[in-house]
Amino acid sequence: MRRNQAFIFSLTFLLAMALLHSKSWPQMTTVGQYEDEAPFRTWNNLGITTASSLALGETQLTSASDCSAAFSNPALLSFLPRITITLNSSLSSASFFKYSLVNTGVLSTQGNVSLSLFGLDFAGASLSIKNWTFALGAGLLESYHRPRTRAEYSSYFLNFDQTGQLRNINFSVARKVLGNLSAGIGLNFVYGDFKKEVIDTLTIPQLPTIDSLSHKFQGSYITAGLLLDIGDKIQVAASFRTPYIKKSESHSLKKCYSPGGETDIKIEASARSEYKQPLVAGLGLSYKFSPDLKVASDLVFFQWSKYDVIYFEQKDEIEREFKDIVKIGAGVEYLSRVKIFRTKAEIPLRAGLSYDPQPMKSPDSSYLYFSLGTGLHWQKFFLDGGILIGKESGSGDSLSAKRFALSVSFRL
Amino acid sequence: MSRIREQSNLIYWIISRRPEKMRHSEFGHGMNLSRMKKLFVFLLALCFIFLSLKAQDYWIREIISIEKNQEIEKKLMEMNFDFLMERNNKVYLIVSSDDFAILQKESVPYTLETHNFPPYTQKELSIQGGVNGAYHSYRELECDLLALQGDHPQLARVFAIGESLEGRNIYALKISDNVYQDEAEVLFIGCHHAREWISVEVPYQLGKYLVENYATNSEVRDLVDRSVIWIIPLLNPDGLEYSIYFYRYWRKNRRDNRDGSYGIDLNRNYGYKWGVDDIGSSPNPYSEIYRGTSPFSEPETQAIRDLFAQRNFQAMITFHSYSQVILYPWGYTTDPTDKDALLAQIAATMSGLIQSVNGNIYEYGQAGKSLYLTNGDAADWTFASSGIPSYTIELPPVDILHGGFFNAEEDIQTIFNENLPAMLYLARWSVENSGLTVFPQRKERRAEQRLRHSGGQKKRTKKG
Repeated sequence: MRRNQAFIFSLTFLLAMALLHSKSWPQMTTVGQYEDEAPFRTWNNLGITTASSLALGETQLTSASDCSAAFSNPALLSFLPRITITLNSSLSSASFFKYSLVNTGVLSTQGNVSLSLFGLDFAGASLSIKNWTFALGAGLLESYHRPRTRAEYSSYFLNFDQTGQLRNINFSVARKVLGNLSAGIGLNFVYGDFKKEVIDTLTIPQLPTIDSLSHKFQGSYITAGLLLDIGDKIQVAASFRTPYIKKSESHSLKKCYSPGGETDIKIEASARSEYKQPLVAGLGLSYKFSPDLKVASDLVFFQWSKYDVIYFEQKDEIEREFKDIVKIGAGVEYLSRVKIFRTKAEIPLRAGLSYDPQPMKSPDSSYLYFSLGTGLHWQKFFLDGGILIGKESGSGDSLSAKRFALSVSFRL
Repeated sequence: MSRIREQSNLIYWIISRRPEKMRHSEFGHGMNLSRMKKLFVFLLALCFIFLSLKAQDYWIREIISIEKNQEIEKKLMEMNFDFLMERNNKVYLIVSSDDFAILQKESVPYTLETHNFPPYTQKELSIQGGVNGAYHSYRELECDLLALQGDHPQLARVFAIGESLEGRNIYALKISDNVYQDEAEVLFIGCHHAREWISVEVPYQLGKYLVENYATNSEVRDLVDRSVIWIIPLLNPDGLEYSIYFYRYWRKNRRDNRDGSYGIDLNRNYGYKWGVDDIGSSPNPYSEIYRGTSPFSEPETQAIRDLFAQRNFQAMITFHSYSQVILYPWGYTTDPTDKDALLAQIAATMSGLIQSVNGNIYEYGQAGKSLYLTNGDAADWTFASSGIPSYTIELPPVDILHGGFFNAEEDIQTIFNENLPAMLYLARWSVENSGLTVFPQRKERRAEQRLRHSGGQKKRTKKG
């Protein structure tokens, strides 16, 4: 058994490492909104939402279907079976109207542009020893991709490209501390990259100009949570993420090269940047009507009013007037019991709603999501799928976002 | 730190209060249990440390504003506070806790403004840094202008003469030995066009040169003593920021034209011969030379108009890039002005002075003939409305093959140096010809302009 455990952990570790160095693949269309560092789809990311929590209206604080719970409320790990291994992949798409030089004066589109990203975005494992549960996970926390753009005229063309990701490695530990109270704490290390490039090229005379910007991100924070189980029916959760500084080694190059004029001008800068990420605190409540029927809801507070950016060692020139927001999610889960090959199986049916206000004061914008999901829980094998579809209101741009997630778990 | 240690101890104490028997029965291996517990306590303690950390307070002194009136002004003069700037009938001061006590004693009402002046690192005080390298961004310029004022309070004062569409200040640096004397005034403007970064640097460097050399250079001292030099290095701050952060070749301001297009060419938005044809400017909002919906529709050009209504300028240069030419009115037509000879003579002298520095040749001529037709531009308006010699200097490089709107950072100083004698010459010319009117009816025109301006304001007030 110990050999098996060692094997499983090694496998998970390798998968996690593979994930961390893999890139998500942009499906050609487009991303981003308002600021370069705006994460894909939403600003409000507490953790990784795998298929089951996605389908439950992105509730993450009281329902632990897999070890991704460590990212949002580590206390939930206490409720997992002895060993779990989970892999999650997702296809996310979002539409955008204004980003960088698109629809801000340089390049215009007739409507929204959208981008889809597909990738393996979570791998993790948990292990319980006595009353202690440990989890190690790696996930894709944020993506900064934007739709690639190329405008072409007879003697001139303009290319725009922006890519970037923020990945997270989480190590968490949880245990039942006082009777029905569980506590958990997680250490999170984030790192990632960002690259933006605008290339203007005059073909006659030949004069390419390149404006490129890159960041290498790094940061760390702590997540901690409590979960109180009241009479096996009610679960109350509290969780928080410490504010942290997403530090960056930033590099900018503005280059003009003209072979005809023997001109090669470079305006270059390298400096540190800092993105002060907000404190996040959440409250969750779930209620079991019966062993088969459960409702769950989350209120998650993001202290975006404290968001601040030091850009190339300077107070950023671009005003980011952000406000605190509370994201609300609720979902219902019904477990349908069936038999497959004469063994018991469960088919979960999930539905949820999520209200996700964005932090910008202007435009005052929010997404309303509907989610659905199902799966198959058979013996030690859990397959879950979930889809979240949302519409934005407030900006006047009628943006939309979708996310489809598929997760595979083994529970031993 | 001791408080944190106490918290950790407390947590450990609570956990260690569990009965010995229970601990052994639950965890089996005594040593492992103890280690795990310690790990858990350690992690919890870490968490508390994170929460206990507080942001560092960078500010020791505070910035306050005081509404100006005669009584307050008198009191402030006696108090000898550290003066920062003056804007919208408010005086901004840097005060210490002792100063607060004095203010309270004297019952001077004040508003705390520190939050409106975010802290800057030492690096920002120099022009080296930021994503645009040695070139100024809006905040760097703001900081450097205020530093010039702070270092040379007897010579330099910074005014916000207007506010851009996105709420940035349009700063003017006024250089004079005595702000109350009626002296010849000359104006230098930079950055009508966002991508022309070098046009911010040349006028800014002029201001820096004048105040830093006043004490040691007799020529500079004489000029500053006899004149008032106004420098507006950055007329289009919104456009410059967009050019730095999003698109290097952005030209116009950042007006949302509500049709998907952005920006108005500020140098086509002035009131003389505005939109006289569609060659020298464009009615198409997507065009790079879109003139706007009406003359002076933009707050940036309004700021210049309002400044002219208040001051008595004798000459003006507006800096642009690129092509190394000195242009004078008219730009809207190929016909010359009735003062063509005088304008050409001054331009020729400036061109010669530039060439004498390092051999760089700046051609000169009437704008409409030498470059291309432009209507609603700054030089035509200042010449027509105030009757003063008005010039557009297109800074290096000479053509697009040599970089176009790009100048190497190390060329900033060279370009300033070659333009310095020309700028000083025009300022001296203003001093020496302050009684001369290029247009005989100049004073009447200016008075008329002031009346029109104040009338316009009254009308707006009536409309509410």
